[in-house]
Parts: sequence; C-alpha cells; structure tokens
Amino acid sequence: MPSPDLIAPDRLEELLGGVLPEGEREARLQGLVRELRTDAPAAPAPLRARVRALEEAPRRRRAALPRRRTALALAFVLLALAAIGAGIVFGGGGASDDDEAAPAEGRDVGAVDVGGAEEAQAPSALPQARTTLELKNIFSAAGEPARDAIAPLSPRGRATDVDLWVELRLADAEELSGAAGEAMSITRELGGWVAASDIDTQGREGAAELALRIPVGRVQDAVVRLSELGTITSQRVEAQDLQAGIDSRDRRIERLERSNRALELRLESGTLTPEQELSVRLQLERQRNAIADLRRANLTDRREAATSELTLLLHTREAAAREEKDEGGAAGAARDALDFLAGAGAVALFLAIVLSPILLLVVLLWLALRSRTRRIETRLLERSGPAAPPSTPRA
Amino acid sequence: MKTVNSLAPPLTRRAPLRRSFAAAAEEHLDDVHRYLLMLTADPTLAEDLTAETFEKALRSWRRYDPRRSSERTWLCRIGRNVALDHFRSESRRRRREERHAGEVAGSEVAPPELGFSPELEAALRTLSAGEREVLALRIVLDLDADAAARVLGVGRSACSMRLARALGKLEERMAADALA
Repeated sequence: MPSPDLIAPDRLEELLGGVLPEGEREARLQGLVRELRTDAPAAPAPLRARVRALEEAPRRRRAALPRRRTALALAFVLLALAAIGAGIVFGGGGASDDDEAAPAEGRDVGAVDVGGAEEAQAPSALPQARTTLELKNIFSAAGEPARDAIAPLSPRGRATDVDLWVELRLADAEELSGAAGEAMSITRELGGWVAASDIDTQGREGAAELALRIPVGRVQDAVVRLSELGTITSQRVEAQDLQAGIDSRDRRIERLERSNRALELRLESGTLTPEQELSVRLQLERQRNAIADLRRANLTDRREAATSELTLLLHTREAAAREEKDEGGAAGAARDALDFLAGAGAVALFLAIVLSPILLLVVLLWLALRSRTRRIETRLLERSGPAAPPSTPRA
Repeated sequence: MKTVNSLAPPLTRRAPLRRSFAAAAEEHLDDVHRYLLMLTADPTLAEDLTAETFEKALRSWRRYDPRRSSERTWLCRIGRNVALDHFRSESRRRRREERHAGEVAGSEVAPPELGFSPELEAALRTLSAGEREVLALRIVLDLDADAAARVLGVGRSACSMRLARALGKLEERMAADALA
C-alpha cells in the first residue's frame, strides 16, 4: 500500500518522460532527476584503460559446460531413461517361452570301459555344437526365408540333427483336420513318416501336434509345403552337429582295434602265463564290446542325421480375433492407426506419470531457490545501504 | 500488376548483428560504471567492480544473445551479480571480524565523493543500496521500466514502486536538508 506522500508510479513515469510538473513537489522531483542525470560522473581514464586492456590479455578458457547445455543434456537423459522404462513396462519383457533355446543335450552312448585310462573318456564330454534359430513370423507364404535359414544348418557332408517346430493357425476345426491330413500325406510323399500325432477338436476350436520325420534332404521342401497349410504364428529351427562326435568315436574305434591287434599278437606268441593270458583275453573282450557300443552310437547318430524331426503344431486360437484384425481397406488402416495411437498414448501417459513428479519437484526446487536468492539479495542490498562500507582494496 | 524480381534474395528475419566486445565495452563503460557507483556509493570499489564486470562479460561474450536483451541490460545484470558477490563476501568478512575481534571500532573516515553536489550525495548516502540501484537504472541510465525490471529480476510494477519510494525518500531528505 503506497503511503499518501508517495508519488503515483504512473505519474512518476510521466514526469520522467518530460511532462510539465504540477506543483512544487513535482518540480523538485524533476529537478532531482535532471541533476542525477547530468551530474553522474563518467568512467575515469584509468578504468577505461583497464577495460581496453582486457581484450588484449590472453583469454582463460572455461572448461565447464554452459548451464543451459547441461540442463538440456540432463533433460535428454531423463527422457531416455523414461523411454527405456516405458519399453520395459509396456514391452512385457518381449520374449515368449519359445524364445528360450532348448538346453544342449549330450548324446551319451554310455561309458565304455576299454581298460586304458585315456580310453575310458565318455563320449558325452565331446563338444556338441548346437544352434537354435527363432524365426518368428519371418517365413513368407512362399517359404523362401525358411529355405535360406535351414540351408546353413545342415551342411552337406556333415551329420547334423535338425529339429524344427512350426506352429500354424487355422480358421476352424474342420480346416485343422484337413491340414493335419494334408501334412501327413506331404510327409509320406517326401519319403518321411509320422512318428506321432495328436489331434483334438471341440466344436470350431481345435489343436493338433504332429511329430514328423523327414529325410534331411527334403526338409526345406517340407517346411515350404507345410507352411502353406495355414498362417504361421511361430517357428523354431534347432540344429546340432553330430559329426564331431562321430569322428571322435571313429578315432577311438581305430585306437581300440590297434590295441586289440596287439593283444591278439601277445596271445598268439605263447609267452604268457595262464593268469596273464586270462587277463589279456578279458581286456580284449571288453575292448571288443566297447567297439561295438561305439559303432552302435555312430549308427544311431547317422540315422538321426538322416532324417529331421519336424514338429507341426496346428491350432485355431485367436483365429476369430485375427479375422477381425485382418480386414483390409480403410477400416483396417483406421484400426492400425488407432492401435498405433493407443500405443503412443500409453507411452505418453507413462512418461507423464513418471516425469510429472520429477518436473514438479524441479519446479518447486527452482521456485524455492529463486525466492531464497531474492531474499538474500534484498537483505544484502538493505544491509549495504545507508552505512555504505568504506572501500576495501580488491585483489 | 504485381511484379516479382526472381533474382532478388528472399527476405529473411535476421538476428540483430553482434558487435565486437571492444565496441560494446567502449559504448557502455560509462553506464556500467555509473550504475555500480550508485549501487556501492564508493568510487574505488565501483571501478574495481566495473573492471571485473567487463572481464566476466568478455569471457561470456560468446554466449550473449542480442535477441534476448540489449547489451546495456546484459552488462548491468553481470555488474549486479558481481556487486552482489562482493557484498556477500564483504558481509561474511565483517561477520568473521566481529566474531574474532569483538566490536570493531568505527573509523571516522570521510566518505569518498561520488561526483554529485554535496547535498545530493548526502541524501543519496541515506538510501539503501537497493534504492540507489533503482535510481541508477531508471534515472541515471534512463532504462525503461521493463529493462530495469529485468536487471533487478522483479516485475515491472514492483520496479516502478521501488523507484517511486526511492525518489520520494530522496526528495524528502533533500527537502529536509534544505530546511535545516
């Protein structure tokens, strides 16, 4: 509340602008203003020289970033963190159970006791190269990418166990039954066989699981033809190299055969005591059994590598929902746009929820700091007021 | 009929041109010195603070944006911060001295002259630094209300009110001195 003696700020502005004064007080004020303006001293020459010399002095480079840039960088970091958080929350982890690669399983052919320490090493300890590919919805209708994906997994000349899982969605149970039958006939056409089948239908819904064995050379054709039976919802290809194990077992067989020949020669020499002869015969027998086991293991692996196991999963889940979604034209585009907007809205909402308390806190902090600074400044200016301290030489 | 000169370059909004620091310093040195002289009421201190202000201004000349404020306003803001820093350290120093040495004996040193008439100087010395500051900005430097408010970091009306109070007080002291 201005005191009655205080001149109104608007009138004061007019007087400062040069309006003719009304009354003695206004005239005195104008005179005061004139005196302050005209008598204010100019900067002394030594000061002018000091300021001129400033630019000639070498500049000190500041290492610190400007405050605004730092704030901007901080804001970007906050936004990035919030976006990552949104990704984690709304992405739901992303990976499904199918994403996990099957644990590498050893092909154990059983411990073979062949007498010698080095021969007792179990074949299961051999390195087994296993590769898993998760190819979710990347197979086109023509199946070309599938062909490309499987080819490097079963290189020619190497025994490889290739397992495939293909999941297809079909419109209804009737279509599912038809597709299951068709899959079986395709398998037989390609020289394979159905190892197991489980078809379950209830009304319009249904599911089927077929375990198909396909000759390794026809796997690519099988995938292409089977993929055409329905809409692919998920696929996985897993390949395990069996050749390393086979090669290792072959080498061991060779060593055992050499050892057997030596033992046979010792027997034929007739220099052995009856106890020694018995011991050698027992060792010979054990090594022959080990050779037989190793050959069986190799045979099993080669048979395994000759065909691939293709698990075909058929289902009618989400078919109805998908049909609605697959509507084309303007309606489909509108639905896609709405879906996108809903996603973007969810992310924006998340960001707002996460960032708003931080922003509020920052604003409150800033206001508090500003108010504190003002109070301190006012106090300082009041304190260094009427009793202005005598000048202290500054460094 | 409207004719268009296709060879003429398109008209674009340009940012105000930036001068060299030396030119800006030369032009505004007096103003900044007057402002700091009024604020501190001490010519020697005002000189030191002015030199420090221009030193700081030179260091941040790269970041000066002519679109946001005039050179004079920008320099006065720097000057104000420099002066406030000085007052702050001075206040700390005084507190320290009082704590360690008890009461400091008041020295009877005549206040240095500011360059105004003795009556005006005496009246000015009765004002607080904050009051002298607003007089310096609005009257001595003749800044408009908005620019002065920006330097002080307050609203326009608060700035006008401060000016009215300071000028009223000054006039009152002068009148009282004249009667005496």
